[in-house]
Amino acid sequence: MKPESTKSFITNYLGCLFERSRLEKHTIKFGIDWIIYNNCIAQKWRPIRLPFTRQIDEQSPKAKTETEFGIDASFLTEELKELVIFVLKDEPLNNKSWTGANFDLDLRKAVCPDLRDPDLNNIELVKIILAYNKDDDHAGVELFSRFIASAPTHIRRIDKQEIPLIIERWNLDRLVDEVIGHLLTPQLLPQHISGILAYQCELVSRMEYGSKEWANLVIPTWKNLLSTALTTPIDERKLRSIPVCLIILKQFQNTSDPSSAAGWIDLLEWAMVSMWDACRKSPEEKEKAIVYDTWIQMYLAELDFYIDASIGVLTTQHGICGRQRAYGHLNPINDAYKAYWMLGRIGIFLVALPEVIDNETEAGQALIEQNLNKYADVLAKALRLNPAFLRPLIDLHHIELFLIWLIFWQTARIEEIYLFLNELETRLLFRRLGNASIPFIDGRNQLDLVAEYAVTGEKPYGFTEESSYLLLMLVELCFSLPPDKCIFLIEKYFNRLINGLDANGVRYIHRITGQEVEPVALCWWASPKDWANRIMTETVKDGVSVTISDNYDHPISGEELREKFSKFVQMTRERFPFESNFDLPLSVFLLASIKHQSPLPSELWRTQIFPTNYTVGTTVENKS
Amino acid sequence: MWSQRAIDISTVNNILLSIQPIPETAKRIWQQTEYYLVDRINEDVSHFFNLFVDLCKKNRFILDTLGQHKFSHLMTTIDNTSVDRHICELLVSHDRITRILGIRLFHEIKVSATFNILTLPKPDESILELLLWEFIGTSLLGNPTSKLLTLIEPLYRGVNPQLRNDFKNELVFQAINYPGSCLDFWKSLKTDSALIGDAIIIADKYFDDKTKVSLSSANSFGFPGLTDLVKYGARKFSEKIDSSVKEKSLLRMLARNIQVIYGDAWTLYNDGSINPPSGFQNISHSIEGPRIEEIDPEGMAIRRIHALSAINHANPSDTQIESQ
Repeated sequence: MKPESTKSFITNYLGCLFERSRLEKHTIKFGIDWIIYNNCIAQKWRPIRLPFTRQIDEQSPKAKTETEFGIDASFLTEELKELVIFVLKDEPLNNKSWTGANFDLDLRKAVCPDLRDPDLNNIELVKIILAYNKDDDHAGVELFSRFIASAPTHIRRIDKQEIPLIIERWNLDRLVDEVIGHLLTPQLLPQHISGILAYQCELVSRMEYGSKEWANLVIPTWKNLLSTALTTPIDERKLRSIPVCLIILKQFQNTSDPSSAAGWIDLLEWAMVSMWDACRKSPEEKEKAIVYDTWIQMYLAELDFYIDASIGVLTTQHGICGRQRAYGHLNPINDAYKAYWMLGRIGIFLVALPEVIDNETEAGQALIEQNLNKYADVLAKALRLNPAFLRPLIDLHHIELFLIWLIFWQTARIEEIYLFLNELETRLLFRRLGNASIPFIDGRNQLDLVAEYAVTGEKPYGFTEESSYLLLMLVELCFSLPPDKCIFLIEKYFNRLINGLDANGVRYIHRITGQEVEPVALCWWASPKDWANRIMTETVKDGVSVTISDNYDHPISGEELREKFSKFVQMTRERFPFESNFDLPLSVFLLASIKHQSPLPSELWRTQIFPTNYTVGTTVENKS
Repeated sequence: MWSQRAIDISTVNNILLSIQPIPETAKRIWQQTEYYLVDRINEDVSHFFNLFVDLCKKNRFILDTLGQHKFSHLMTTIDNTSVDRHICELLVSHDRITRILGIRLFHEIKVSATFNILTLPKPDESILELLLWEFIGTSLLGNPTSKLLTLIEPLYRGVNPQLRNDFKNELVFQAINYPGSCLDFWKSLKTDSALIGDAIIIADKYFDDKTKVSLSSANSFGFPGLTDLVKYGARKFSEKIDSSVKEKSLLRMLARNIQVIYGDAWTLYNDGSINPPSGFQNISHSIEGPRIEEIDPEGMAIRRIHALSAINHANPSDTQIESQ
């Protein structure tokens, strides 16, 4: 992350904190007192007075209600020679707050501290710091300066020795500098989060992304932290604490491990999904703005950086390739896993671009077009140079295939769509017939079974290649092509790949089993009405499954298939209309679907290919 | 002592050919046939190859078993005989079966890549094109691949630009597929061949580009469980090797097999005495696997099918032979 982004997020976080941390009506209020306390502890200062009682077994310290005499917190520096007194305010320093928020009153009290504590017998300097987590204006600064000019410059120690008294102010920027200098650690966060975050940092520093430990330990712990931090009622502080957690986590990233960059993206994504879900629970537009801001400045910015750094791999021949030989065609399986991971991220980024760039202006439109074309070029090259991109392993990879199509569709690259779908059909056919040593697509999305099949050469129990939502999607995508190419491809897909019939209408024989290949059942899925609500928090696979029951033992003409599938689209839309409300950007739903391993509702591509006034025989107009 | 044969060799050959195809299951007959063929090659290499080609045309079984190390006695004999010229003649034959036999013999025997194929009559470019397709449609390991391509490369120097380019692309492909057996071997030749030189440059660039991105984050992770499956796969592979060694090793079959679990030296206690311990000997054999089969297995299968389609399209009357 760029330093200025880090600073921006820390500034926003510190700027929204209260003065005091406390538990109030079962909700933890985050305060700058906790920041000051931990900042001083980080510098090995000894607390003399704190505004709260530390409670180890509780989620938050308990605020003191005693009279403070203007002093919120005081510390002895490490050498025990300097007493630092903090006067804390969560107000801006201006003319109004100077008296209205008791800046003046508290400072006047603070310049007369009680030095009778034996620990203070040997101090040589007293420093009073007015710390406020807001900005200031000229009048406020002037008032403060005049106060200093009239304030005492020395103070008498218990032994009557006169020691210097200095008065400083820390505004928001200074507080941010202090935090960046000393406190970019889990202790920056409130007590109920800092412990989990410390553990999370340790895990991230040691676990490799993609390992079982990452899946079984790092991510569940991270999700636990996110749910702990984002309890209802959602407020600004809770939302802003998440990017801060991420900034701290990033420091613990094991940069010597190349996989850590992908792990960082993974953590970011889970955080974003949680934040988007959280902001829905708040009626305040301000909270949505915070999440939107984090989405753009943190997630999309980091994703852009990651994709840019990875372009070399995508556009190098066989760039996506296992580094060590592994028996049993595990490398092609893992290569496909990496490729589809990358495809998902590129797709999300390119869908998000028009959502965040102002496309009302010429400059905005030009920027969107420039980026879309740039990545469409990269994708076209990647598909040619890296065969892993044409190797979907599980039915859920329909999401990434849809994104490939969408990128080309948005950039009006119809020929690329045709080449992509055509090549994909051929490669899938070879797998289906046992000619390519890679198993066919597993309909139940069990990647472990796909890998086991590749290693052993034997189909494991539970491996499902007889049903497919992915293949149905590919057939529907063919409708985005001109009629002649659409007909040609639909024929290939349905007769050869799906029905398993050669040009003479004879069923293919599987090369390994020696048996005739069975037709694949095309299964359409009607998502539940609350899909959009639930996808942010869970896998959504319920709803209605509609299987196309027509099986043919002879090839069907492309024209007939075109009509058949058009009618199918029309009927399913009428019978099971898509009613979920896209109240968040589409890219967020795509991300949530990928993270929760959830299928996409077909309306996402149907709405582009089959406009509501579509009739059979019309050529779809690309209005992207 | 018999100074004359009771029957003419050519008559025996004709009988052998006329009784084809002998089924694969007639192991005793095939064993005797193999001894007969060994005698023929020891007598006259040219006549042997004529007979062998005719046999292959009559019986697919022989062609199909090449590469599976059957007829090991015959192959060893061929290997110990100077047959480079004959192999090359097979490669550039007008007949498809003959060409395939020539290619598949590279699997079984050590053909020298130093034979000057230009000493033979230059074949038509159409034959060279078919030879190239035949090669693509066949799967050879690294060493035979590099030897064969090195051997036939001079034939492609003066051909039409399209064919020359296709051959160069194949050289590049195999240099990438077998960097040890092909790329390193061709570099060691220090040849002045422009085709091989260009292929080396392109293949070197391929590997340089890959090295630059090999440590990229996008290439550095796996799916959860991959590590365990890699170990499992390695075990399955070892199991296969072990069982096939057991099948073929008489010693393993007859002798007791003891797994030594501790120690780096071993001895036996027998009849009240212990022999001096002896260390272990490491016996290993390595072969270079085809890289592209792992990177793009679908693509390799498509490549072979396309090659066979091109051959069948060029010569529809020829026997359609599936790729191995």
